[in-house]
Amino acid sequence: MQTRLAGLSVAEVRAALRAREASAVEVAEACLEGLRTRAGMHAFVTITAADALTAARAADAALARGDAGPLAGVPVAVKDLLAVRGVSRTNGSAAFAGDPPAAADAGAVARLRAAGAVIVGTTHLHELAFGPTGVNPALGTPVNPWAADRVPGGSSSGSGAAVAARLVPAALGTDTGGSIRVPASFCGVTGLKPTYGRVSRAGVTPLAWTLDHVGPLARSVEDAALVLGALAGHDPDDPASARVPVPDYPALLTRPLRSVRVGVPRDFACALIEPEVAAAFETALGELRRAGAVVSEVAIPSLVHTGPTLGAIILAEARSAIAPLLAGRHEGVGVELQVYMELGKLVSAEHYLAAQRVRSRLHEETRAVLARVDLLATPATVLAAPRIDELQVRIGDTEVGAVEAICRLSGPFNLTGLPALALPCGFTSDGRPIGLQLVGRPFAEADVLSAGHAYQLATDWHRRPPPV
Amino acid sequence: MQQTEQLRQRMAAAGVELPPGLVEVVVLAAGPMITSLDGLLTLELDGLEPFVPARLADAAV
Repeated sequence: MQTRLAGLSVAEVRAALRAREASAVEVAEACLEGLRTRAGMHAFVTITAADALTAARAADAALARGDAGPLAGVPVAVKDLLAVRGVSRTNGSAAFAGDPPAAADAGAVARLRAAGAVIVGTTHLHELAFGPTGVNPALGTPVNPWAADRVPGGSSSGSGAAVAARLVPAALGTDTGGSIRVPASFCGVTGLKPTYGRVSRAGVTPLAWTLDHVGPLARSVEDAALVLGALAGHDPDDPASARVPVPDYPALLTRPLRSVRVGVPRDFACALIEPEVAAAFETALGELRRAGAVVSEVAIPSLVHTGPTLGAIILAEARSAIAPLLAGRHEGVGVELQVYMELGKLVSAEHYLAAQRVRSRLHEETRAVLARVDLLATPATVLAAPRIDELQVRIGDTEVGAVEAICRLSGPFNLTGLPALALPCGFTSDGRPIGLQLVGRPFAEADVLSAGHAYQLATDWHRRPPPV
Repeated sequence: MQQTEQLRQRMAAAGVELPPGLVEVVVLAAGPMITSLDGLLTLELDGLEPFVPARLADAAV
């Protein structure tokens, strides 16, 4: 019974609790037991067992009264970059070890609790969320459940690995250049970066203010929609939070793909790509066509400037945001983060402002394309999970930096702030997951989610369990 | 080689402080990205203001 309960999805937990097949306490106990017995996955920093059982008892009481929230009794993990009441936050860095526990929850965590979710713990990440591999020499690297010698993807590495390994039904991540979608792609799960301003960043350690997003990782689009429904909405404690009405995402999931127009920026998306990823992407486009979508090619010329634009903004904003946090903590700061902090000195005001102006052009071009099509489709990443020791990767005949390659297709949608969904669409011949990315208009998460749901109704990539 | 030396000088001029053993690695791994930043300064950007992501709410569907 416990084993079965530990592996349930968000939708399955909800169904089991509402059918009285299990209690929220039983689900929480099964989940916590899984976290203990599979500690070798190294996905979790802190497990909040007592708090989780208290929340589960409250969920059972609410279910009995008939006033339970939409996530009542659903175990959820939180990236250790967000404040969780009573938990000492590491931000993925030994420099923060021993910090006092947070007095209050981050805005997104508070919304999860208000919806009845059971917070079971905090997950590992790339140090200060500054990096897309999830490799963390100081605090440890979560195991990619599909390939232990490969990176889990980051920076929300523990959240991706935990969901993929069925340790939790869902987890929170943050995404500044791809940090939700990259681990989703590399670990074979579904991850949504909502529109900038859709989900509160209050109580989240910043990396780059104009690029930071919070969103869910889950096993399916349906689960991601359920979690987003709880997360989305205005928060006065986040100055970038948008006052835009929140639709009923789960209710809108079943809209058909028939006649939905999908644009593919092929010139950029497929110019530098591993052959097996390209093949899986073409197969995924075929599935979308079979479901009724109208797929066409589109051009977004400024995508070629993504690398330096994202680099300039992240290096400059991160130096400004993080350097003060590290004052007096230099002993515990990892080498990679030290290097990034120093490289931030190379970004002049001219570089930064040019990057923000390029971003305006990219936004204009993308907006014009999204007036003619409903969605964009690209691979989530141009490569499957690289080896843990790879600083450079070879794609075809091109040698390219691993960071640049990993963020190549996720970064543009941090720059534009558009909602972007990563979901599994195949595997390499050696069994590593491959991801598809669907992108929508501002605040049109429902469009992205319904298209992704239609794709998952027609495929089973998201249902396949990993070997570890 | 000349490019590597230029990058080294540029980092020194900007006050970049790296452990000596790391300079080579950083130049190799991050050199192309650092050099590419200058490409932003050569783009024709007339009429474009810096992006303000919070304005996305004005375009909400």
